[in-house]
Amino acid sequence: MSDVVQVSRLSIVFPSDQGPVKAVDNISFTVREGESIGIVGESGSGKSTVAFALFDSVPDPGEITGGEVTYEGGVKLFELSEEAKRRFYWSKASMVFQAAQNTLNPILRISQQIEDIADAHKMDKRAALARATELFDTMYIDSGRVLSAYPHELSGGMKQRVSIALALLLGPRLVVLDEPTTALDVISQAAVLRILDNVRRESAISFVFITHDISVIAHVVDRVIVMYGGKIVETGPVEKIVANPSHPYTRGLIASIPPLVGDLSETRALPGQPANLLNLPKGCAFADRCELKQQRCLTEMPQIRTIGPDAEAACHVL
Amino acid sequence: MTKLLRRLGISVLMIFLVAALTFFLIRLMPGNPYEVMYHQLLMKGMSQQQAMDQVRSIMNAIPNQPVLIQFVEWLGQLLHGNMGTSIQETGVPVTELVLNALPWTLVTVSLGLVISFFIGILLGVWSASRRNSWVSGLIDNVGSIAHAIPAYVTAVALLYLFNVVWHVFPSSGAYGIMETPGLNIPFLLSFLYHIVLPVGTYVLTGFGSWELAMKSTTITVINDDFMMAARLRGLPREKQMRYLGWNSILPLFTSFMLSLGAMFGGSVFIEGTYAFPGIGNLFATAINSRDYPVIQGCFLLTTTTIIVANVIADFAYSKLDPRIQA
Amino acid sequence: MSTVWKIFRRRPSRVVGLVLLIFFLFLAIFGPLMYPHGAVPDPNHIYAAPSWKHILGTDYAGRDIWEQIVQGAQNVLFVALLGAFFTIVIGTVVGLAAGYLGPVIDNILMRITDMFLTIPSIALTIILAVTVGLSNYVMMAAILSFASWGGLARAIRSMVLSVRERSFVEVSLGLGLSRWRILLKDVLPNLMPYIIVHLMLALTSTVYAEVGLFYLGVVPFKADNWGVMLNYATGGSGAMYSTQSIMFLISPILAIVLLQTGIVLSADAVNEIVDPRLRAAR
Repeated sequence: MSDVVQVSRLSIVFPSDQGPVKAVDNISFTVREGESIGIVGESGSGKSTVAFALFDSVPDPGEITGGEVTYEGGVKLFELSEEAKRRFYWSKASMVFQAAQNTLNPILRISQQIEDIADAHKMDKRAALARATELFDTMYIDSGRVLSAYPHELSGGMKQRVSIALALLLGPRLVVLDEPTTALDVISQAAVLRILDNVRRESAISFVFITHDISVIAHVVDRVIVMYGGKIVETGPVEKIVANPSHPYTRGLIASIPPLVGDLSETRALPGQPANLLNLPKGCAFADRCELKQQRCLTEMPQIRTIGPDAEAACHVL
Repeated sequence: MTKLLRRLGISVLMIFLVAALTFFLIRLMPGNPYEVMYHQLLMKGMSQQQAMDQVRSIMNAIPNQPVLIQFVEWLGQLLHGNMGTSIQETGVPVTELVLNALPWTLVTVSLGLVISFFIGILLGVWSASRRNSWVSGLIDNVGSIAHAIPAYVTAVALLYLFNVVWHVFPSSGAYGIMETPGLNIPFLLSFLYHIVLPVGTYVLTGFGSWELAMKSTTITVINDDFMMAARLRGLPREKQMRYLGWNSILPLFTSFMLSLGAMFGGSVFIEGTYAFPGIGNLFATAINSRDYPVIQGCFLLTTTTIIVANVIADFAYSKLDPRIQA
Repeated sequence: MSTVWKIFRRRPSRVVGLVLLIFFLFLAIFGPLMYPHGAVPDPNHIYAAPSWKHILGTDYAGRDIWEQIVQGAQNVLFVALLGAFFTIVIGTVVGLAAGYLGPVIDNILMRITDMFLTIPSIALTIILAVTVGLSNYVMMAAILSFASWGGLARAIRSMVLSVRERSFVEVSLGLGLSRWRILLKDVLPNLMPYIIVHLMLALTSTVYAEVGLFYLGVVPFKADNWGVMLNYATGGSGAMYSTQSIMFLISPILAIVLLQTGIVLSADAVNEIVDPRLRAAR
């Protein structure tokens, strides 16, 4: 299988009054064709910044200070002209935002927004509307009503489904979903995840899920990347990560998920505060919260290394 | 629809309240002008009946009667389009005076409003796109200072520069004495030439508030998620700007009411300075000669115009912004 | 204090504004001490050019223009400040009442506010000025504020409505504290930054209206006022049409422009001083 996108040695810095903040520090990963990966971490781990970096659109005042994002066919994103990037967006890679209700232009009908996308990518407007209707049908959306509706006339779950349909409109190779279900109630959450799972099984589209809650996406991803303090601390197949996490941070993360059935006393919140990006230690960023901490964890940065089939981790103790 | 009816009802009520306000304000004047005039006429040797009739035809109210009766009488006449007659220009109906003056003001104020709106919007977007730079700070400061400088100061300064020093524009009137008002080219050209300074004054004193308002809505909208979404959808830059522009401009419609009031208020000074035959000038002259029926008429008609303009603006807003229900 | 100065120093324009404002306040306070008597006419020096004796020259009656500007400063600033203060008080009280005393009062007060926002306030102020008469400073200030409190009332009301929703007010209510106590202790302090900034804006409006009344010449010229000078310069004296007498036109214009500039530029800094969020955003 070929790689849809390859991120290599990516670093992103946010300047601040107290000095530069390394939001993302030298991370590399790839997404293969048809593969669905999850990037998991607490807030401040840099996961959302990575999502925007996949589009060279890190919010101000963030700045990409190093690394490369290479899409299928050797397309080096950071080297594209503005116009080339514009045509690349949405047709090759699209995004579903965390607060989908805010990603639709509030004063245009859904059909108009679809036509605007078609227009921007030289697609026939009627073909685009027909394609949208098809997508809406698979998502149990009443396309007749929704197409002529304004965003404020739709419920939150409906708007999220519409924005997923819009993301799929041009048949992209990669869809990035930033916390696609956090803003939804439990019922809509389940519905949206079922729709995404269906799309994933029926097409060769690759997905990147960004989330703080691994349990939500466990059923729709193949592989998980765990981030902490702007770095990747562990990657591996989802089954392995959930059942047998290696890195102490991942273990804490998995242990903090309340089980749907069973004894809640097994659930333990992760102690301590998320890493302070302004003041990262010389050694492992997780060391001060780690139960297995050793002397070298404080002085030496652990490098990411293979720990099993298709699995990597950055920890001295393993 | 019911909302529109409600809005109309409130507007009619408001016009009534303003009418009442003007009536009672004048009644409150020191040495109640109704009775002062009545006694003046008696002194001139009129009989009581003659004087009473005279006051009644000028003021639309009978002196000596309870105030409420006078108000009802005055209001009844008003509903028939009778606002009394001018004291200064003896015998001329107030309705005729104000209706002759209103169009001049309407045209200049509307032009001033539209031009200052556009300039303000362009500068606002520009300032927003360079926020935190010195250019943005300069635009904001110039805008708010121009807004704070009184219209009469701006008017006098423009008059001095463009008339007295450079002899570019005329100092008074709405058209040359050789022209006949109507739809003919020489008149229209002469009119345009005469309104450059008045309209310029409205623009200079008005654009600043639009600029500041536009800048703040633009900065809000630029950071909205749907603008990032528009970029990632690959929409061309012009389309993104249109998304940004419309979403930033729509909230400004709510400031319409305030700016119209300020512009008509400014017309008192601006038209006074340029001797422009509009309603502001009529008002200023009437105030100076204490021509109460004309003062009432100007105030009432101006306010009614603003109320009507607001209803139209509200209606237009509800058509433009789908989130507002008409 | 050092933060305040730091905020002023952040932009040179703010320092300029502060200097202008202090300059005019100085004139207003110490002007009457500098020139305790009215400017004396001197028929031998009509429209004298600026000199060391008359730094801005003299007017059509040979009176010193600088002296008139200084004496006008007190009238203009004192009345405008008082008027702005009244505006703030009325606007705040109406806004608080509308936002706090339930929907019926809210509805009535907001209709009245709408009416005052619709009426061209300058026109109403002029009518009031000729009706009631500008007999003294307090009366003048009251008239200036009568038609101009609507914007603040509306803003205060919507802020009260949103502050009410916030948890600390709910907690206070839950603790059984009286509504008035909460209004004064919790709600009002939250609105103070906005009220202080609005005071500066109201000041520019009252200066506008006050000088305007005198410029129009609708009220007796009892007081020394820049508007009176401007009226004479553009009207009767014909000073506008001769280069010799031009200082008589330029002086009041400059005084008004510089005062308004001072207020606006200082307001920019005050805005940041009283609103901690603006500072955090830097």
